[in-house]
Amino acid sequence: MFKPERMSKLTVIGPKTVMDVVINKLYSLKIYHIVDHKKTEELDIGSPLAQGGDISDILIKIRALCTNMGIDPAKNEKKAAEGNLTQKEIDSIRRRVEKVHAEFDRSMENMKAADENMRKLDEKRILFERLRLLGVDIDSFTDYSTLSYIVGIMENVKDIGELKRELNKKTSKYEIYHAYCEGKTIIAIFFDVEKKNDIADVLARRGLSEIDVSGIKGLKGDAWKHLSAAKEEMGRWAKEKKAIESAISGLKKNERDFLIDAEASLSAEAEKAEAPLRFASTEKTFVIRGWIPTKKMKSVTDDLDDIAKGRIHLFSEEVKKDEDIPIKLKNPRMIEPFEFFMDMYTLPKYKEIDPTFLMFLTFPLFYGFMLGDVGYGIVTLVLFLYLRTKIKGDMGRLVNAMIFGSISAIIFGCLFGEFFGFEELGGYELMHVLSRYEQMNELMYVAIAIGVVHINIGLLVGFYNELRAHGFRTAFFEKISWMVLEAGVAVIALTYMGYVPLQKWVGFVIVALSIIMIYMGEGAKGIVELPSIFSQTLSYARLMAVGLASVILAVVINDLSGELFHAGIGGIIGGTILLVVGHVINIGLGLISPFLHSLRLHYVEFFTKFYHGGGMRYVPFGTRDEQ
Amino acid sequence: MAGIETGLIALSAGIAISVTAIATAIAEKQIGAAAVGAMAEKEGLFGKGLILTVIPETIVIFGLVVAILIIGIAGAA
Repeated sequence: MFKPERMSKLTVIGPKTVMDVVINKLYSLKIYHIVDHKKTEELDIGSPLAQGGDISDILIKIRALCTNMGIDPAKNEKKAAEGNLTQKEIDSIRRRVEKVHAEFDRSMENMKAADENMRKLDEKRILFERLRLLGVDIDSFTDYSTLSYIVGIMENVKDIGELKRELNKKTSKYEIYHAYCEGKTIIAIFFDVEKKNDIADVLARRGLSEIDVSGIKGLKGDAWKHLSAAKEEMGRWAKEKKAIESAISGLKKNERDFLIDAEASLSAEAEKAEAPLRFASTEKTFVIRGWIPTKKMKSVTDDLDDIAKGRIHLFSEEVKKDEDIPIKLKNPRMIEPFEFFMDMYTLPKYKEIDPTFLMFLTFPLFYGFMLGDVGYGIVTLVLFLYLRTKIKGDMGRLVNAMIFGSISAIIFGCLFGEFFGFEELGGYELMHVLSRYEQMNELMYVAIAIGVVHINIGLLVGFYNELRAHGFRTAFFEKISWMVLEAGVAVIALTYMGYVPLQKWVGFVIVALSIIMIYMGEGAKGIVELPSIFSQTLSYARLMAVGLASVILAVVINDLSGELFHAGIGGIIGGTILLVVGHVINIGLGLISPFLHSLRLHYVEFFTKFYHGGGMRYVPFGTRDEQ
Repeated sequence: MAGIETGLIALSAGIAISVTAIATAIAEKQIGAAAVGAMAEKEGLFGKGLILTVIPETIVIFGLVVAILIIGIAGAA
């Protein structure tokens, strides 16, 4: 409970002929933490298994397909794919992936073509609609020898009388048609081909933008007929698009499971294929170094011997001093959720005490002390019990930890006699051991007393850690010295207040002694940090402060809405709203603030007394690193 | 009847809290900005950022302690 899982070093040496068998076995065991080999002059790293490149190719195709089809491979329920695919299975996956890929590509190309056709038809439709308004026959727009024409559009509805006058200055040999459509002016003008430049000049000055009508050259009949034909064709293409869309979604529905499964098992295969990059290797042999939990050593070595039929050599090396040993926290199930807080901070080193159990004891205690209200405790408990059914994985652990906090808040609520900020219900005063609202000073003393105890527990744990790591002398001067300092200050305070019948200098002598001890233990850094032990103890006053803020806010909400309740119907409605909204906000604050402050008391005040951390996470081969 | 002394006591308690609260706000502003910056780089730093951001809150808690002491000591005298 106080120690991470015991680990043993295991080295596997064997000929390359059995490498894939060994990799497969290790992968399925999911227990061997491989230490990556760094290339040296004697030992190079291995090269990926032969099928590696092939698998990566298929994998890239699958992932591209997933992205394009909007499938999320991470949403795989049965994520623990083993791989263990035969060459035949890989080939069949490849064939199916290629088929799906081709089908999807074809659908996408058809879609693109349909879109392009729709776009062209829509342009035509607009053109026909405009020409229809002008009332000019379609077959007028053809090639003439002496005649030219321009069709164009001008912004805004314009009187063309002025345009005509301007044109008249250049020539009279023209004929103009115009119509208004959607707040714009459409113009078709036929004129003598020799005057083309003059007329184009005038039109350009008038802000006419030309419409290209070359597409309809040679068409006969009236615009109306062509318009309905275009619309009809557009309807056909829209249907075609729908058909393509349903083909794509059908493909997605059919192939979704296959793609997700293939992605998972091929990822596993790819990881296996790339594993030799983490091994040391010579021309004919490979060497894997890694760690496994000591208690599994026997079964793993047996398994490996079995699978390789005695062709590999396994041995356990001596653990060197200061070697980085992977950390797997080991705690009873009830305490496990609190490992979340260790992950968030840093994992302990192998020889350090794992503080998860201590956090399990004190985190809910502090949280409950600050929230400390039966009503709020019940609300948060119900909330977290509900969230527990919804949230799994990493955040699920946090929710589980918070359930302990909520229960603790209910217990402290009973001690403080508070229910949604009320200290009495229906005229009866709630039983309490300590009223937070009335006895602020006492509350502060209790908070600081908790701090003294907590910090000293930290120092004792630190003493133990140092004792194991550096021996008694260091441990004594680094940790016990601080406790002597505390004792000295306490003696000074008590003699001055007259509680202890001692000479006044006794306390000062103890303090001086402790300062010398601290200097011997931690050097000048310790002297600089002398005041910190007191500021950190005082910092536990937050247990009172945060709680008090929550109580007073609750009391204010209750008082205000209580007054409103006596002010008629409107008052009752307003009071109810204020009561509900106010308490919801206060509970929201009550979730965040006590949580953060409780965590901070652990991370900043408590852990600094004994904890170094920086442990390497245990990631056995075969489990994908989620970081 | 509250005399001028009571007013002064209340005022000094108020100053103790408000000045430390402003100090906390200034400190948290800078840490918070840096923490958000770090989070933009690496989302996993949310937890650490949150903890670092509330560290200066100690200052205002000291302010509250001092305020309570002012009211307690001066109020009793």
